[in-house]
Amino acid sequence: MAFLLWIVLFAPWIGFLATALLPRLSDRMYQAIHIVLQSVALVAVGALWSRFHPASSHYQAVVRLPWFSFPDAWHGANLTIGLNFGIDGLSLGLLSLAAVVLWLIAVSTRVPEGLGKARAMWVQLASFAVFATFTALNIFTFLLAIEVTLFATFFLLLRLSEADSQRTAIKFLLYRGVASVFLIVSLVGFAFSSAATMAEPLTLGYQQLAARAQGVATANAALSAHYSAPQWIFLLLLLGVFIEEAFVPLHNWFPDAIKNADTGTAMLVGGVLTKTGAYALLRFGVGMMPADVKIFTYVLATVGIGNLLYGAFAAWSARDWRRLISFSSISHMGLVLFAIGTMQADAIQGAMFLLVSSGLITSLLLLTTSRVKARTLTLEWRQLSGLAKPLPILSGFLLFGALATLGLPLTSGFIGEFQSFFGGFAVHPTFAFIGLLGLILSAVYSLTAIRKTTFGPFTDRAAAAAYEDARMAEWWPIALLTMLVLFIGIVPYPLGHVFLSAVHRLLPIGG
Amino acid sequence: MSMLALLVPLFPLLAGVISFFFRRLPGAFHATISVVLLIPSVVFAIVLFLYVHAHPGVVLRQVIPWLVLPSFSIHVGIQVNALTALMLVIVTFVSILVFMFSYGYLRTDERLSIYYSYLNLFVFSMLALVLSPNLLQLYLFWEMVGLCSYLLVGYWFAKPEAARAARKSFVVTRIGDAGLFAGILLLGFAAGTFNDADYSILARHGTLALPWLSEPYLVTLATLLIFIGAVGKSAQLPLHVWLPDAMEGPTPVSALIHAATMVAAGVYLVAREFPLFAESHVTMTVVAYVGAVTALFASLIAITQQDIKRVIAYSTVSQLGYMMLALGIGAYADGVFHLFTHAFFKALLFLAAGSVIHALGGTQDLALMGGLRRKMPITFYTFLAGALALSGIFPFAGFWSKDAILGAAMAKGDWVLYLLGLIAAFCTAFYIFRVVFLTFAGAPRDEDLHAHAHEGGWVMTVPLVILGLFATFAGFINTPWNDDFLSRFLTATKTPKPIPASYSHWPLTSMAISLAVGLCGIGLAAWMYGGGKGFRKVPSAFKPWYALSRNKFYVDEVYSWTVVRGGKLLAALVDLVDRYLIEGLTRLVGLFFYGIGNVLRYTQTGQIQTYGTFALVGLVVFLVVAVFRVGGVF
Repeated sequence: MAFLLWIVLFAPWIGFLATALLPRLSDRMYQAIHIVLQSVALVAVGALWSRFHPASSHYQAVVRLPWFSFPDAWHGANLTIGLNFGIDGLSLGLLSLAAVVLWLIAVSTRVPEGLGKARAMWVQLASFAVFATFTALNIFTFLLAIEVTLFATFFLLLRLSEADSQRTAIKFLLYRGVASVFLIVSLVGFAFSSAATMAEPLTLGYQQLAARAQGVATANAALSAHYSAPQWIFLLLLLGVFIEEAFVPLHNWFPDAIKNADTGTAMLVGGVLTKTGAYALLRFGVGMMPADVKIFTYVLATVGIGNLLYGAFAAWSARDWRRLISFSSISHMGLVLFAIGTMQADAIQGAMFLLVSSGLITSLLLLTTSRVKARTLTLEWRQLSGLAKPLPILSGFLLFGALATLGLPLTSGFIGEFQSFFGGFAVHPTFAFIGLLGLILSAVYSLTAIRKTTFGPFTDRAAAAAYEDARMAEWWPIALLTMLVLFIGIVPYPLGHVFLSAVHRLLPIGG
Repeated sequence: MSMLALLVPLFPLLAGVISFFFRRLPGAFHATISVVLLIPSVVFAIVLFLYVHAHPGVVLRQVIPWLVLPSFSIHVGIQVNALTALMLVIVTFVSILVFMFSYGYLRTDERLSIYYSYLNLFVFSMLALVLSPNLLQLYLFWEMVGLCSYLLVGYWFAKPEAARAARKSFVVTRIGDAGLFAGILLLGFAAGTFNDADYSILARHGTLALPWLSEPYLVTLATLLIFIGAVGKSAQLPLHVWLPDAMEGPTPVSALIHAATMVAAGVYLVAREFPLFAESHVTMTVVAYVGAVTALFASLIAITQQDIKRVIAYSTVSQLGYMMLALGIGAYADGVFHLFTHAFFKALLFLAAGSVIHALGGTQDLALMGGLRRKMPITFYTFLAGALALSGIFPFAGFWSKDAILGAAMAKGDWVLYLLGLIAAFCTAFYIFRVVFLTFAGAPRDEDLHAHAHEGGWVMTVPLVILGLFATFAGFINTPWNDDFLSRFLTATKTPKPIPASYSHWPLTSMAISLAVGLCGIGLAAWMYGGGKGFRKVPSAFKPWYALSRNKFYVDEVYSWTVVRGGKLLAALVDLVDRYLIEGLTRLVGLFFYGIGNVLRYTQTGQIQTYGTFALVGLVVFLVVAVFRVGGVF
């Protein structure tokens, strides 16, 4: 099974190297390499599903690459630092999301003229880094992967953005660079602090750190003098997560990136990169610092519900699709944060569902709107009306995307939503009742957008004849995403089963 | 038998899928396949009804796991009891007639394939809702029903009014849905299951509680929240505003929404949870009063509306109020009985109105009608049957069910509720006969339209005649002469607290009063509007009151000025904060970093260096921490 994970990780890595080293190929060739290797990775992820044992309590498909070793690093013990990868239910879910989105970027988004090499190179590097982020088994690997993701995405934004590329890229870099600094300080500090408190060898491995989490909490309770250190560490982690997740008021980089980036990069940022923060909170917060999550539960609930509503209101006042997509994503992530903050098992399973669902739906909407924009040249509502007449297929998908955004049952969005509120009502009833407003607002903003763009009379000043509806070559990727969103919504059992095992891992019984 | 129940919703689903994917086939194909595939559903529904009748108290249940939560597993599947069996018959039967009528009404429409696929999905969702073995599945299809109504109300999406009405219907019912959602989740968490059959037992044993809320309060809170859902779906006060607008959709859709597939869901939900509702006195009182006030309020609006469909739409709101009133005072069987008869006469009234609209080339304005009795005799006589049933005139269907409700209110001695219902009954007879006179009697007010008016062919008249027969005779299913057949059927189900079959026992006083009130209403309508006169005189004669009713008591305006504008204002505020305050702060911070960057890169230029700075900062921090730890400084 480990070889499958090898393939997943190294297909894009090889693709990156090949693209970087092979000079002067045509754009088509670069794209061909990209598509082939990204497809290999996707197939390997699919194969991982068939081999995965949800019942096992260990990380699976473990790949270890020892790198270097600090002799006598900590109280006489050696510290070996290496690149370790493996999966559990949570990793597998998010890895699958990333593999699907990145594959769709490769096969379905347009490559700007003359930028074939840059795009193939950086997308594949980002792809490698994102896969590594979700499958890392120690803090070093995770942090390195985060940094490489930042690096690759920065170049994508810089080279490929459709507008205002410098400002967008630098804003992205500043924000997420700061976030990764927070994560580094927090996680490294955590590793040292746990080793010190427990008087055990320094380790960066998830398995060992999580196993200690219970013990660390007990030791802290006994030694109250050390109590403040983990809280301070957790707070830094939280700050990093808030920026990565684009939580208000640290979200400013996100709508800009979605608005200005090319479709592929927007899908990468909106569909995958905004899930890494929540992943970190689940992995490190829930899994390794559960006591701190409980202490900060009201902070998480406030920020979570605050974002749920802020995002919803901002999406309501949006005047174009891209802005609506970015704020509806922020709104969904607010619910994720609320769910995680409850530390209630059902809600945490819901948070995992929401992450995957939000990634798929954001990608679906970005892809569909890019197809619309290719025809109308704008996504602003005041210039659009009655698109359902000339573009029935694309309008149909747009409607589906809007319905999925508002969490309609039988789409993937509903599963996580009801689970989050289910746990939420048990733990934080007041917040949950306020959060219900988001349920109504999401219907308001989604359907307002639909009413303004696809419904209504078709009044286009430009040549209506030029609006030709999407052919199958254009809509099949959207249809694929639609089917995935529906499949998870109608048959949540398989994904739920995998996430269930992850919930049991993260929240050990009695913990 | 449970296999049969599973098949009932699957036939319309199949038809819907076929229609959706075979767009290019002609409209006649879609209509035919929809009707033909629904026939087995009707037959199976009737078989199930007979089966449940033959085995009183039986519950057919078949489930499979859907999602395993850490707390418990959720299942989906089907469950049939007496109430379900009755609903299946109503839904499939009304739907098949609407399917048929639709073809006559929309024959020339280009998008019939889409129309029939939505219509089939609508019926499928409603059937799956009714068959739900637990509240979570009910919620899934509750929302699907809402979606289908959104799609069909907005079927003519190019019309701005239709686009608006569609969104309004979804958003307003969604407000109710949020309540239902909360209620379901609270109960699910407290009970450890979504199987609502267990709730009333748990409530009896006092084990239904949450960490933050104890037993009696939880039951009251949860049932009230569920009732909010029903209020939204069944268009009760104060969430009634979407239903009259929803008639922007094609008229056969209105018939379906108003009779079988959408608004009935709210009443069905309250009826389904009746044993649990009965555990909370507060909730029951709220249900009864909301129902009674809605019944009167909507009927007062209906008496002045000038759009034929709007009158009938408000009539639905009002009649649903009666059903809620019945459930709220504990007259479970009577409420469901009224749901049953109402489905037939309301579908009939809408389809007959559709026939009129079709004949007049699309006009819905009563001002342009009149004198259609001779031109459209079938439509006239069937509409008349529906109007008599709605007015509660002996022996039409509505007489039996409405009188059962009023009789129950009288028997309970709740005079406020009884009077509210009685006044509403008077208004009902008046407003519907106002429509009868203005549409069919007197001289035509628009000669041109009148000249072209004609019946719509057998696909339209056959459903009318069938529904006309049901509107006339369906009430006989539950009369003193057959010992309240339907009530006994419905209350044979085992519940912790036995549900009384009937409160009223048909007191003659109540029957006589209702009948007299109904006849008075008709008489007044005849006096004011008989022969098509009075159309112009009445508004000026009752000016302020007329305006109040005509403008629907300004509820829409109040909402527009408070909730809608408030929300938009808040959204604009958030937008301002986001675009200026937060963006400004970001620039400020950016400027700060830019300064640092300038200092750091005095030997370098370009973007890569900027990145390098940041990667470096990260690495430096990492190393510093490591070195400090290794050096034992911490």
